[in-house]
Amino acid sequence: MFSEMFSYAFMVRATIAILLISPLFGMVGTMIVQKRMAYFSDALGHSALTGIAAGVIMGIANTTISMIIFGICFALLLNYISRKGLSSSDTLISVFASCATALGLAILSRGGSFSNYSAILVGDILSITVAEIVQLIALFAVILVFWCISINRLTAISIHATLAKSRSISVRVMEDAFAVLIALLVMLSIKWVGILLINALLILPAASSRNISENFREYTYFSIVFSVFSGVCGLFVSYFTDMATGPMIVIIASVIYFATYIYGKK
Amino acid sequence: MKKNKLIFVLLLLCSITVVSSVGTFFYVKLNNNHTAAEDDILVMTSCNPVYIATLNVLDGVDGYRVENLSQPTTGCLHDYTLTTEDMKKLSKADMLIVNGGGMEGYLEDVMEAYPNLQIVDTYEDIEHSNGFIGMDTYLIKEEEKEHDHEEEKESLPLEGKVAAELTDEVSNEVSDEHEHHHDHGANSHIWMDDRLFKCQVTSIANALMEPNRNREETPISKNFLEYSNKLENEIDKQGLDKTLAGSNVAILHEAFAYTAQSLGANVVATMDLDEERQVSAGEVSEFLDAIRDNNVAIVFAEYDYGKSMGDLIEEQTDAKVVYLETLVHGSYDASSYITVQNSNFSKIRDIL
Ligand SMILES: [Zn+2]
Ligand SMILES: [Zn+2]
Repeated sequence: MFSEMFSYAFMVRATIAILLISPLFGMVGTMIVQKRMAYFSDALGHSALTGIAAGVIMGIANTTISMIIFGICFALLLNYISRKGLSSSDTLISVFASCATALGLAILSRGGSFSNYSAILVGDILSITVAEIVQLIALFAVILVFWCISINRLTAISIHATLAKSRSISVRVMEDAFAVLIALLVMLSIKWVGILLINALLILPAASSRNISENFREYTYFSIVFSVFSGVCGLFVSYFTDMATGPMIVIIASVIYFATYIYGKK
Repeated sequence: MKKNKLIFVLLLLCSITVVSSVGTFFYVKLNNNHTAAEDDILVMTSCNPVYIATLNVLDGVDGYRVENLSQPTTGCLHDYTLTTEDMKKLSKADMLIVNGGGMEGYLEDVMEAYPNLQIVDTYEDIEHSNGFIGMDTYLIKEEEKEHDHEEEKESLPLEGKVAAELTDEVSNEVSDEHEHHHDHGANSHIWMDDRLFKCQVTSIANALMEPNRNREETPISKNFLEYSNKLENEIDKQGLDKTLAGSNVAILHEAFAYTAQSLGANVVATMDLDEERQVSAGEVSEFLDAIRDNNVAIVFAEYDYGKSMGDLIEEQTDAKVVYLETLVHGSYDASSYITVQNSNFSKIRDIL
């Protein structure tokens, strides 16, 4: 059964992609949950539409590039807003996100042709190409290096706000770098995860892990385990049942979340 | 405590694995009902019109198996992406027959994934062999029409000649009033014009006959002639081509531009409605104005997405709205192209 499955090149590519990206989601997700940035990553996901629209307007054939550039600018802007420390920064972020989404939708639906882009809403992991896998490997390496270098400082920042403030310059750089990384991760994976579900995949494993973890080490490990497990399991189930992959992964991740929630309550 | 947690996580993941494998297993069992011979030539088709055409061409011919890719349950084909099941089937297919003209948005992915799969693009075929090109509302490639016409016709086996003459006739009717530009994003719902559908059938038959291009009779060429005659004789326009010839119509779905064309009617206003389509107020009033100004008596619409706009049109103007089928959704059998077209024509006649 499995040997048949891997005789399809697209399944091999999809599996490799899942194995590359799901640990990253698990890892980065812990920090997003920890720093309460769920709004942030959601806004970023939606801004992918605007990035594509910008690319289309400027006549860039490869919209991935315009998506990444726009995503990075948007991430830095959102960071700037939340750094201002306004009480309403959550609201501001969602206003920006809605505005960006609306702009993207408006542009892409000119002449009623949004249908050409609707695939990006749900994503399609089976269409992933070898070149995109190479991009993912590069991203994997970058995030891993960043993680090893800066995880301690990032954690410190998220735990001790005052401590963090006292070293404000390096903190700012660190936070911006992290935001750029999230933007890269979101933009490079959105094509096959889909705008509607990408945030769920970022948040759920980390949130599940948080339900049962007592320290950071556990938190990170469990999050990665949950993420990879949901990814692989979701891909296989979707392969055999012929249902979309992204939603299947999210369903499994949600089951894990509820189970850990109940366990954690005890 | 720590141990308990590890055991909990392990148990959790194991039970999810077990539950999902068992669920998947039974799901597959319940849905698995194909038992076809492995060594048949597997011909996949991308959409219902092409599927119906292929079924007819291969009707009763040994050694072929025809399967349609899964079809959208809502919306139109061009919004559609392939499922895993489709990709699996395609990896085993020998030939993929598509409508073409941009209708299959996933085509490039397929070509990339299966470089050896033979793809028959009916739209391109018709365009190249006949100088026809689909419409915005019907655009003609002037250069090709003028030049190598005669020899092209000669080189076509079967009734390609007939088809070529037919499209000539069709294109001549409109060639003077439209500028020609080549746009592959154009309206590719060509099957809605029965004459162009016949060209599609021709193109499919030619592709399937490729191995023995000589003109001796084969089961395929026999089927082809039979089906062409059927299309010729059984599609009943009920005099509509006379009643509506030269009259003005409006459409709420691109596909009906070809219905209008097959009846000789002019499309004076188009609003392409589907699920993601947002229509602005300005557009609506412009559309209604166009209906009034051009004395449009009848509007062709699809029920799912056109009903509310249709109601508005009937309330605001004197035009009648008729709801037709596009053959995009659902599953069909070999005879349904003719029945659907005929039921469309009856609906139009009933409302006039
Ligand atoms: Zn559409
Ligand atoms: Zn359509």
